[in-house]
Amino acid sequence: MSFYKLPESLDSEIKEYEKLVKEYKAGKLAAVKMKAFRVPFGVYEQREPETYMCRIRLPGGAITPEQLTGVAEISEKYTSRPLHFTTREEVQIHHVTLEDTVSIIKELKELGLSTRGGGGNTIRNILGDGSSEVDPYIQALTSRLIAEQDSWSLPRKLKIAFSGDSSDRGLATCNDLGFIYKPSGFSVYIAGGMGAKPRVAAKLYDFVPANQVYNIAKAAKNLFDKYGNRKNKHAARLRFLFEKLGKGEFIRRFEEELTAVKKQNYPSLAIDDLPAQTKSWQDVPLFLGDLETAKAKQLAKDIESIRATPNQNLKIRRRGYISSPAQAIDPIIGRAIVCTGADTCRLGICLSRKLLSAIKDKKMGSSDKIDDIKINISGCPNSCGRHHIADIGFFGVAKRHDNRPVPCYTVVMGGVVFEGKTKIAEKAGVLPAKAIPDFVAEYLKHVKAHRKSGEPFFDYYIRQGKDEAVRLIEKYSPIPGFSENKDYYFDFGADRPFSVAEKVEGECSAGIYDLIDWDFENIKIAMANNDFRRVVLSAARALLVTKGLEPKSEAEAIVLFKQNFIGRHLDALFGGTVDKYLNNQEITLDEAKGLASAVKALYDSMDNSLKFPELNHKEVEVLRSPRGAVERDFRGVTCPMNFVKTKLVLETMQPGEILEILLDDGEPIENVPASVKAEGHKILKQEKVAGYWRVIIRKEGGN
Amino acid sequence: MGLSEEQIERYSRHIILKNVGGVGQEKLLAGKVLIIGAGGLGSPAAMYLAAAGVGTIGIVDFDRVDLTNLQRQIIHFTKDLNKEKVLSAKEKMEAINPDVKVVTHQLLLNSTNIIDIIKDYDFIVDGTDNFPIKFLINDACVIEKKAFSHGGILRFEGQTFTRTPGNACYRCVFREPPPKNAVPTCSQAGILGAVAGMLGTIQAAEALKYIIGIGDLLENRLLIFDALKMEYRTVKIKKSKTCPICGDSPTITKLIDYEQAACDL
Repeated sequence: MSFYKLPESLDSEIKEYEKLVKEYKAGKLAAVKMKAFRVPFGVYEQREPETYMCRIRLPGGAITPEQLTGVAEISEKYTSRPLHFTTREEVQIHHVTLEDTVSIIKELKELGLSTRGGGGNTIRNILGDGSSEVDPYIQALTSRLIAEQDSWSLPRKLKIAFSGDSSDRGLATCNDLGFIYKPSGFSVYIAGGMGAKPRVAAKLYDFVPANQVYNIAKAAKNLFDKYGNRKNKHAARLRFLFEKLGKGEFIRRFEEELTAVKKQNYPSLAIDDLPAQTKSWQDVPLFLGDLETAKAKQLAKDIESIRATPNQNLKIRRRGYISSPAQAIDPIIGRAIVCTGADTCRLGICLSRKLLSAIKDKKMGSSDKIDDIKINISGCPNSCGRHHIADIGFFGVAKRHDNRPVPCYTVVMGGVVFEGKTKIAEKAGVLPAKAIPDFVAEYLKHVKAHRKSGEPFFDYYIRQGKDEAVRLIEKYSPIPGFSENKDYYFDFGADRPFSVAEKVEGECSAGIYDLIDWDFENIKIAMANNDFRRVVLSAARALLVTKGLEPKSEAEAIVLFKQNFIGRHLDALFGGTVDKYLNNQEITLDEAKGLASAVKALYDSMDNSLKFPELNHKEVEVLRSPRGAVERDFRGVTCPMNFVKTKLVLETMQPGEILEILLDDGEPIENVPASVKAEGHKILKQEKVAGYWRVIIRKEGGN
Repeated sequence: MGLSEEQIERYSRHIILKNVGGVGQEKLLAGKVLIIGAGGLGSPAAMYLAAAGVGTIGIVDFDRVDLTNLQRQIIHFTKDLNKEKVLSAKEKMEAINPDVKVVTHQLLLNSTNIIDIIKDYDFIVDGTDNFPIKFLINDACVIEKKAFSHGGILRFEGQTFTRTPGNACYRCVFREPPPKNAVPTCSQAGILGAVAGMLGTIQAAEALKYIIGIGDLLENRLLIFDALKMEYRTVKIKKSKTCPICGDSPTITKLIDYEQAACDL
């Protein structure tokens, strides 16, 4: 038995995947091309290069005991790591080679399971709360959607969720599209989501009949496909479209799509009514979502049915009436959601899992257990650890202190999910990672002492507000100097000082934004204190991290700034200001202000790949030789003749003179500046003018 | 001087090269190279030098095209049988690049005419295959202070070095021609056609580098390759103080015509 139906195209897709893996291993396929196919296939590279994991789709977290045994057996063949259950109710096989992912995918298919759509811009695993009202819809909708080819090439991922009742354990109110069961139908929510920019979903319909589920999902998909932002993946999810269009226009366009979908007369989902369940679910908490394969196989023997939950836990219905708790695990820890963090995730900033262990160790040592509080941790601002809906949530950020990056977490509080009440947790402050266990222990002690008997944490929090937490955050936030206590500069369990510069090349730059914001914060503070030297230092340092530069001293920050920004992205006149810093000369208010606002303006013009515009034409004129720039129009000249001609002109010029050329878009602009640079000349600027480009070159010594 | 639009296009792949550029190409167009022998070595050398836009190329050969030449002397075609080799070569060079001025010298080089012929060239490519003439070319180039590329091939092997004034010459290494018939000629021993192509092409590259003034020439190094094993190695050679032609007290003061073993390279 299996829950969802594998699409017919899967066989040929697996063949294609296998072929690409072979080509990639033979060095015939670029890594980026491999990635473009691999990720939508649910195969992610882990932090260790050339180590992969397979994410297996389990709609509603549903997996049969036989499938669980099968997955455990497959996993054992290729890795010694435990199975990992995710917050999206999937199960993952970690730490395998790329070649093995092919065999794994093939073997999973025999079990009726697939990794397809585990990642990438696809219909992701549909979440559920395990209730018998929504399970059949989840399976039927999955089978239908994953058989549609356009589900694999959306502008960004599309996440759908179902809950059986208003307590919304399936998180319908914070997904792209959510359905909450009402007798014979659903209420519908749209454009919610977490990530670095979370948003509670808007209510689309109070009630739709159950036979409309497919039409609504299809309309949402079509709407997203048509209007979603494919260019900027950081603003691509459905909620960004919602915010861009505004609620009225968004709903108008949605209904337009829905009307079109209805005209197609698609059959409604085939729902097999499951027999009413008399037994209730029993929770099996997992520590950080991990389950050893041997335990998985053992568990599968004893159970009738099993579901993965959004808390990275399992719930089971046992055979017969054996009642024995699966594992003794601290309830807070068992309830906690923690993403994998910088341990294995390439996006991670902090080692989130190790923070939870540290909190556990601290808490185990105290007698102030408070069992109903939900602590969620994400290693970076992407909310894989669902910190936005925690009682107390943490997400990893990088701060700078004593000229070094420090692993820190932003503390958020008071999140809740419940139909009509869903609320994103509010920011309470920032703590160095190493201070968090003490903060948690003291805060929980305080809660215990002040909470009324039986009062849920959320109600307590509404009543008390965040003041106490903020006071404690202030108490624990000071970071000692590096020589004073190096421990703060190492993340939990890390043997090397914390660093984010290496992540510039990675897939996420969230940690970088934090460091930059921190320097801008410093500028404000220094400005208020008339400390203009500090303003200059912070301004010079702020953007270095975008180029992967991590200065070890203040002077180095200034020098790197001069080398990489002055004359290239910023006017040469700012060179004088930073030189004053280096020469210990007095810096005036105007100079400090001028530099700070220029750097801020530059930051604001930074694009999503952390690139800055090169100096504009007007500023370049300052650098022109008295003879003036030599100008050539190479539009209409194809590659490589445009470069050949550029080079010939440069040969006739003196070092320091400026050449301004016009180039066509496409191949010319992609190649000529790089070739000119390779010759040792300097590209001062390149800017798009209508359909062509203006490139300004400074001739350097030699030919 | 300035390149024409057509030249910019024709030589674009040279101009793109970081070490060459328009400046290097202009040097080539102003360059003069003499190729001695329009045979197995001279054929590829002549074609590449002409294609590269070496402005003046002299070609020396007394012979006419023979059917046995065509297995390796790729500048000559079957239709050229019995044609003067220098004329056949000139046609091909001009066909591949009309920019090139080809000067033909249909004669046998000897001690009395060689100086006159080489004196107008910047670089000489020795594409001959007999020892008396190789020694004559070496001596003449030493006396006239001309740079030249020595080349020799036999069966599957080739050797070459470049001599520029002040560096080791052919006589620093090999004092005298070997006794007559001690070393077989191509006609007796055979030669893999492509080996001639490999060596002649190396000589052309040395000539181009010399004219542009880039890279490291095969000075004081003898490059030896064995195409059967396809192994290349370089052997250090040293300028000899006692060299009879370029040493401290030269004993050869005038050019010598050794007895010539007949060979059709």
